[in-house]
Amino acid sequence: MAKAGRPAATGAPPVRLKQKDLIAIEPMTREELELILDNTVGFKDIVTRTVKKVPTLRGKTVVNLFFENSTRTRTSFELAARRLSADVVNFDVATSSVNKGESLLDTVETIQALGADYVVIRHGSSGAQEYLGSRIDASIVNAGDGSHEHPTQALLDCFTIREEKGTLDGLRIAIIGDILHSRVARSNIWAMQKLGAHVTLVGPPTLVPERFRDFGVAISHDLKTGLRRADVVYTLRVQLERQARNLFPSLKEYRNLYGIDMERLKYAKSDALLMHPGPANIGVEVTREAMKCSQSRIEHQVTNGLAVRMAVLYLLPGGREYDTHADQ
Amino acid sequence: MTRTLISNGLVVDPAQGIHRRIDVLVVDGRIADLRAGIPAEQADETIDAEGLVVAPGFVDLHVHLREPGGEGSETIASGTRAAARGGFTTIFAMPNTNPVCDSQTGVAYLLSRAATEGAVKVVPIAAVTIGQKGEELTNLGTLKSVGVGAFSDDGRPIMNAQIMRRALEYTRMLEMPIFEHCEDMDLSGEGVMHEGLMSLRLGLRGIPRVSESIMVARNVALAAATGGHVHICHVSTRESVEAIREGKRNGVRVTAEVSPHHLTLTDDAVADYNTHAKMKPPLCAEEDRLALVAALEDGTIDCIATDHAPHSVTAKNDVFDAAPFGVIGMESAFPVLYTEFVRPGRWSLDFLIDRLTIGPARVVNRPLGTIRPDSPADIALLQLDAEYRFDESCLGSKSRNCPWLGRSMAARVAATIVEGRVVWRNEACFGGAKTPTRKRGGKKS
Repeated sequence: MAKAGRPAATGAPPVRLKQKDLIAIEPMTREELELILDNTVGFKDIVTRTVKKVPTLRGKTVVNLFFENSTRTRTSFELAARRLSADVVNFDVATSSVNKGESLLDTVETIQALGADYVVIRHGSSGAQEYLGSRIDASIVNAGDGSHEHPTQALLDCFTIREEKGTLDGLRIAIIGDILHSRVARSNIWAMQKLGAHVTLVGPPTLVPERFRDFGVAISHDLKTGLRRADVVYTLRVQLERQARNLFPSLKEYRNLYGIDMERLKYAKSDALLMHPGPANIGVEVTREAMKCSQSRIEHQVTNGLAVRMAVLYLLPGGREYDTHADQ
Repeated sequence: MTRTLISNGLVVDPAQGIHRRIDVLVVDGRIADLRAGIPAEQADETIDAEGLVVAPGFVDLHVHLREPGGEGSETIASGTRAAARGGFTTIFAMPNTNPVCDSQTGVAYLLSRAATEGAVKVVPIAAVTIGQKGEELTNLGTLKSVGVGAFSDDGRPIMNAQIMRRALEYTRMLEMPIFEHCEDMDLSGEGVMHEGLMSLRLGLRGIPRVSESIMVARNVALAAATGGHVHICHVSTRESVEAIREGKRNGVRVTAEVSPHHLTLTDDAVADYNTHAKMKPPLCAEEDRLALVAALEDGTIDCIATDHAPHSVTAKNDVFDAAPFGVIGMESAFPVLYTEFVRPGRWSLDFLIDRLTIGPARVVNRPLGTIRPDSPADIALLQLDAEYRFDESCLGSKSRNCPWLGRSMAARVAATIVEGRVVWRNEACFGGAKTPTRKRGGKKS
């Protein structure tokens, strides 16, 4: 594995992603995903040492543009950018003119005119980043679009699994919950399968429609069956408002059928990892006990999120000329 | 007396079973004679249709003109210009304007504006219920007497089955069809595209196929129960086709239309969040598209209607969730259907013209869609050996939300004639040879 945390020191031209933006995992190749994961190793060294900062993106500007609130993800991106010495602007949508009828494109053009090299966007509508990415020059990093994708989440999840298991090849991963509305699930389904894992989706038919089989995954409506021989148990956050639309009868029923506790974790392999993208509804999709148990990697996910986002910012062109890969 | 000779064209009029090279003599806006070798001296002017097809003007049962209230995306002037560009000489205007066309005033406004501004003939469709709210019936009989051609709450369904039943009972007396937008709003929910593999991939909320077919089945049942005539708008799924076929087999008064986009596109077109592929009903699967083509061929679906639905560039230039539903279709209808179905040999030219002329005319039981002697001289001249890129210059609409912009087409409308008046003429189709045009003082309608 290449340790690419401090590429400027090696003198060799660094290998970067060919794409301008990171919007979705689906169109990416295994090699591209591995390039990001390999680079994450080096960045993780940086975030865990005493002096946590490198000059890689000095003079670059990263704008965090969040149309949906997410303190966790935004903070992770912000910290990642700062550790790379970039200037960071958090564009607070709630107080901006976006709410006064300014269009999405107007807002982002303004940001670009201010000289942004990277724009990290979270938006409630699927495809919003694709819409913007084709219209502006800065590198767009998708921090979640509607129910479509959340690529850095999948990358940090795969990095966490690889760190523990060495590889995703041949692993059996169960993803439990509201797959239909989950961008985390979509990105993970693509990423995990591209990296060689077998994915089983677990949940009721209202949240896990049959048609998902066409993604190449298996489906189980029964938790015990779905978790059999699993190496990773990945449970999703229950969106509480789904209940109101009768996608499942009640939180109690959901917990009874699909909630993960210490007993049910045993349906999977004894060394299975328990993961969750956070924040968890404790006592619904997962118990506190399970979250804190030795099999849980939920805290690792957060740490790794920082490293993976540093790697992504480093690997995207971000205003650099495409043909010259020269740093500084 | 104004006498115009359309000479040397290939006349194709499926209603009369004509497909031959003959001349057409138009006198004072009506067809006077149809035969080979009409001497040019009989006419004041001659349109040389050498190399062109002379067809009855197309009839579109489903057009949104947006005026009044939506003039930013279309007006009666621009919408009828789009019709003329597409070879349509009579269009039926949906009432979902602002205010809704649900009164004599609304109908009178549309008719008077169309008379002064319209390039082609406009037949008003009045709402079935006041304000299209689905609650109280409009004055259906009175509205018929002032010239409406059908009733519809299009844009939304009549969800209350009792209201629909009453409407069908009542309009049976009037011998008028109800054009119904079949959609169960609860099933559609917040859906923005067809529910299928593509919606799962894109993470867009799906509209289940049963959302349409459940309402088609209900409306066929209500038509059977009442004897009323229900016309199913923009059919999009295989199951809907089956329900209509079954209804027709049982003698129910049900007719149906299909749009050019549902005949040619599937939900694959949404792949890059293309808002020009967002409409209701949504583009469905390939199996649905094939079922629609077969249904149009076997007569289960009676005609082609465009559901021309203009939306401004600003409105459509947005994220998929936020963009409005609908595409424009009159300018592109003939070119795209010819290119997709006639050129590859699946349909005869006569079949396509049938479904654009006499097919819709029969649905509304009006003497349209044919150029019999003494009928109005509503004519489309068509060029079939064209090869060109369909772009914005081909549009007459104020809007640009056409899903076929940029594609290559094999046919185009050379000219459109309404009651003897040339309302659209593409000089490129007339071999550069300018035909003499003469100022006329004839009637201006």
